[in-house]
Amino acid sequence: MSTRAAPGFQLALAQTGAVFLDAYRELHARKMFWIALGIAGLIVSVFAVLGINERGVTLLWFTLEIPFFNTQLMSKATFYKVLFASVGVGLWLGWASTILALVSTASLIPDFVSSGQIESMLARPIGRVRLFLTKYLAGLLFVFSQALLFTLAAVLLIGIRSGEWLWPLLLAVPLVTLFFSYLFCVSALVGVWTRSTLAALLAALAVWGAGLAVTVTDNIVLGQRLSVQRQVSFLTKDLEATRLQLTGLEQGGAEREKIEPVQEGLGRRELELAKRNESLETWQFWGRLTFVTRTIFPKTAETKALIERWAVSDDEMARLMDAQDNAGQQNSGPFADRPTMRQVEKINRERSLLWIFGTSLLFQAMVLGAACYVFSRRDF
Amino acid sequence: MTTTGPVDFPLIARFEKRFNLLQPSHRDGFFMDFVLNMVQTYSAARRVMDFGRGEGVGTDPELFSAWSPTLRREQAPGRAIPSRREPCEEQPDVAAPGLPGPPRMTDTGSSNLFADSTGDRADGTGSPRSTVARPIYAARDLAIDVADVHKTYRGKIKALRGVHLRVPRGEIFGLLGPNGAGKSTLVKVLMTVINADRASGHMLGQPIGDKPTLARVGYLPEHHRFPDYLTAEQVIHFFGTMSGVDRITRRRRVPELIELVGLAGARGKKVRQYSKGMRQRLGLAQALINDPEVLLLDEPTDGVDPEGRRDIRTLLLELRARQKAIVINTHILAELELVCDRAAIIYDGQLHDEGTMAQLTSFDLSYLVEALPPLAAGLSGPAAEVALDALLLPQTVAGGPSEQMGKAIARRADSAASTPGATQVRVSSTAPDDVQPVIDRLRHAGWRITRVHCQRPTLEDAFMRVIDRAKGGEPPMIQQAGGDSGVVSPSVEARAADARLADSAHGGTGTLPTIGGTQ
Repeated sequence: MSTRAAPGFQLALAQTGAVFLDAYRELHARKMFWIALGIAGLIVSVFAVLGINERGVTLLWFTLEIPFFNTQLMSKATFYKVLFASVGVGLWLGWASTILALVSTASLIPDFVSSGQIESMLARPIGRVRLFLTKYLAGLLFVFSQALLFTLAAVLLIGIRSGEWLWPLLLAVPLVTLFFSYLFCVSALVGVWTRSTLAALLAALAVWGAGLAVTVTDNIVLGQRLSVQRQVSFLTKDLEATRLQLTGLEQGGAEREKIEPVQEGLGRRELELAKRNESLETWQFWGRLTFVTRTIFPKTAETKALIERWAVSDDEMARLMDAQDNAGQQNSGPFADRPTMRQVEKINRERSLLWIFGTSLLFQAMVLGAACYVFSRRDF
Repeated sequence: MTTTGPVDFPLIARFEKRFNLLQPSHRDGFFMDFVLNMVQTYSAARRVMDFGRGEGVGTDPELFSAWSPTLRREQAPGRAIPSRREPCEEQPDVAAPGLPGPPRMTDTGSSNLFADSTGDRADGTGSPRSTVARPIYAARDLAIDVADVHKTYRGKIKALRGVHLRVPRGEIFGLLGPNGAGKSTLVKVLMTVINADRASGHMLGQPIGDKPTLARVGYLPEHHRFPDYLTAEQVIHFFGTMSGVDRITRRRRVPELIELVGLAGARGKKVRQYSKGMRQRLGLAQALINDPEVLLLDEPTDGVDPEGRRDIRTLLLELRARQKAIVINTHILAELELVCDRAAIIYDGQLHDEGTMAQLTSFDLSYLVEALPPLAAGLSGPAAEVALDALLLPQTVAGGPSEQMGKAIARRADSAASTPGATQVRVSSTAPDDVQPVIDRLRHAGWRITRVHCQRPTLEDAFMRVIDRAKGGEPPMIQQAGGDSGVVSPSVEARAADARLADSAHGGTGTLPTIGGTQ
C-alpha cells in the first residue's frame, strides 16, 4: 500500500484548507462577488474625492459649506472616521454589501447538502459536525474578503488623501464578518433543514429585520421611558417647590385668595405626577420586555455601531453632537426631543461588550448547534 | 496505507457523543470505546514501529504501474476482458491474464479463504454444490462484513430489512436489484452517508461508521455532481486532500489518474464543460485517488460510451488482481456478468439470492436440440411441431444408461431455432448422457439434427426469476441468520430444486461443446 496519510491534526488542517480553497474558488466563479467588488470600488473612490476644510466638505475642487462639517468643529481624522462608519460601514458593508452577500451565499449550504454533492463529501474521513462547521466558516469568506478589500482600500486612500492613517478602521473587517455570521448561521440552519436557497435567504432576512425592529422598538421605548422619567423628575421637583411655597404662604398667614390657587396648582401637579408615574411604570414594563427580546436576538446594529464607537471617541462624538445642536440641527429621530435622543445614543454606546458579543454569539451557537444536529442526523 | 485516529476536536466529539450523532454501531458505550481506543492505540504504535523499521508505510512502487496507459495499450485484445459467455461455458473466476486472480471457491491455501463445501469449482469437477453452505471467510480477509442492516425512512419506508453482506479482498461483488430495492441505501450506510437504524459488522476491520476507515475506501456515488467551477485536476486534488492523501502523492497521482480515465485532453476544462460520460470518468478518478482498499461504485458505467465501459472493466479487473474489494451497484446486468465474481440480488430491502455467477445462473440448465423434420414427411411449421410433440411428449425418454437420464424430459423450447425451418426441443439436463436418448429417438424417426448446444440462463434470467419469486410472496432464497454471526445461508427448500440441476451441471465436463450443423 502506498498512500501516505497525514497525521491527525495535520489532516484536519489540510481538510479545512481544502474546504476554504474550494470556497475561495467558488466565490471567484460567482458573478455576484465581482459585482459587489465593483460597487465597493466605486464607494471607496468616494473617499478619494471627499475632503474637509475650514468652510465645509470638499468634493474634488469644490467646497460645500456645511455648518457642522468643517475643520473648525472636527479634525480631518474624525471626519473620515465618521464618513467611513456612516457610509462605508453603515450604508455599504452594513446594508447593501450584506444583502448581496446573503443573496450570494444563501445557496452555499443548500447546494452543499443537495443530492449528488454531499455523498462525496460525507464519504471522507471527516466528522459531520466538523465538515459542516468548516463549510459554514468558509461561507463567511465572501463577506470577509469584501470587507477586507474595501476597508484596506479605504484606509489607504484616506491616508494618501489626507495624511491620516486610520488603521483602527481595519477593525471593521472582523466586526462586519461577525455581524454577517449572525445572519449566515440562520441561513445555514434553514438551508440544511429545507435544502431551499430561497427559504434560507428569506429566513436570514427575516431574522435581520426582526432584530432591527426589536432594536428600534427598544430604543423608542427607552426614549419614551427616559422622557417620562425626566418629566416625573421635573414634576417631583416642581411639586416640592409648590409644597414649600404653600407651606410658606400658610405659615406667613397669607390670604385665602393667594393660598387657593397654589393649592389648586399643587393638586394638579400631584394628579399629573401620578399620571406620569403610571405612564413610567407602563414604559418600564415595555422597556423590560423589549430589552429581553433585544437580548435574545443577535445584535446586528450594535455590532456595526462598535466601529464608530471604537473609531470615534466619546469626546469627539460629544463635540460633533454639540456642533450639530449649535448649528440648529434639531433632528431627534423618533424621539420626543433631542436630549432624549442623545441620552439614548449614550446608553447604547455604553452597552457592555459582553452583552453585545456574548448574547449574539450565544444565539449563533444555538442556531449552529441546531444546524449541526440536523446535518448529523440527516440521511442524504 | 497508513490511517490515523479520529481527528475531530474534543468539544465537537463530545457534542457528537452527547447527541448520539455517531453511527449506532460505532459506539456501544464507554467500555467499547475504551477497548476500541486501546486497539487503535496499539495499532498506531505498531505502525509507528513499522515505520521505524521502514515497513508498512510508504509508496508501493508498483501501485500504478499496472494501471498505466502503457500497460493498457500493451494488453492484447481479449486478454483482460472476458467476452460475454458462450452458452453453458463454465466461467472461471476471471482475472486479468498475468495477474493473480481472486481466491477461488476451491482454493485450499493456508488462509482458508474459501473453506467452501459447495464444491462449485471453476473446472466443474468438484463435488456437488450444497444447498446450505456459503463461502466461509477468514475474518482478516473480509473487506466488508456487515450484518443485520436495518433502515427505515421516515418511520414507514423500510429500505433495508436485515441485510447481510460479506465481501472478501480481491473480489468484485455485484449488487443487483430493481429501483428502490435498497442497493444504494446499503452502500450509503457503509459510507456513512445514511445512518442505519441498526447495523453491525466491520469494514476493513473497523466498525461500520468509523470515519478514519473511509480514508481507505473509494466511493463513486450515483448521480454525483462535482463542483462545476473546478477543473478535473482540482476536483481530484480536492477529494484527495479530503481523503487524507498527502500533497506529494497527489501531485504524482492526479495526472496519472486523469490519463488513466481518459481525461488527459480535458484536464484544464471546467467540469461544467464535461459530458455525462466524462463526469463519470472523473468520478471514478476521484474514487481512486486514495488508492482505496475497498471501492464502492454506484452505477459506474452510467452514461459512459462502450469504449469507456471496456476501460472501466479493465481497470476493475486490475484492481481486483491487486486484492481490492470492489462492490458494484448497477442495474446493467450484462456489465456485472462480465466482471463480477459474486453477486447478490436485493429486493424490497432483503437479500434474496447470492452467489457466484455460476451459482446464480445454475437453475434451469438444459440442452437445446434443433432438428429438421424428415424430408419424406414433408412437414413444416406447426405440423412439424405437432409431429415432434407426438414423438417426444408426454412420455419420458427412457432407455438411457443412467437413472438420471430417465428424469430428463424433452419438451419443445419456446425460443426460436437458429436453423431455418428447424424445431427446438429442450432437455432439462446438462449431462451429455441425458440428451443422447432424445437425439437417438429423433434420428430414429428420421429427424435431421442440425444443432445441439447447452443453454445456461443469463444473469438477467436469474434476476427476473428472483424478482418474480419475491413478487409472488416467496421467501428469499437465502435466509439471513440472526445475531452477530453474519452467517448467510440459503434456505434448503429454495435451493433444493436448483441444486439438483446444478449438480448435474457440475458433475459434467464443465465445458460443453456446441454442435452445429452436424448430421
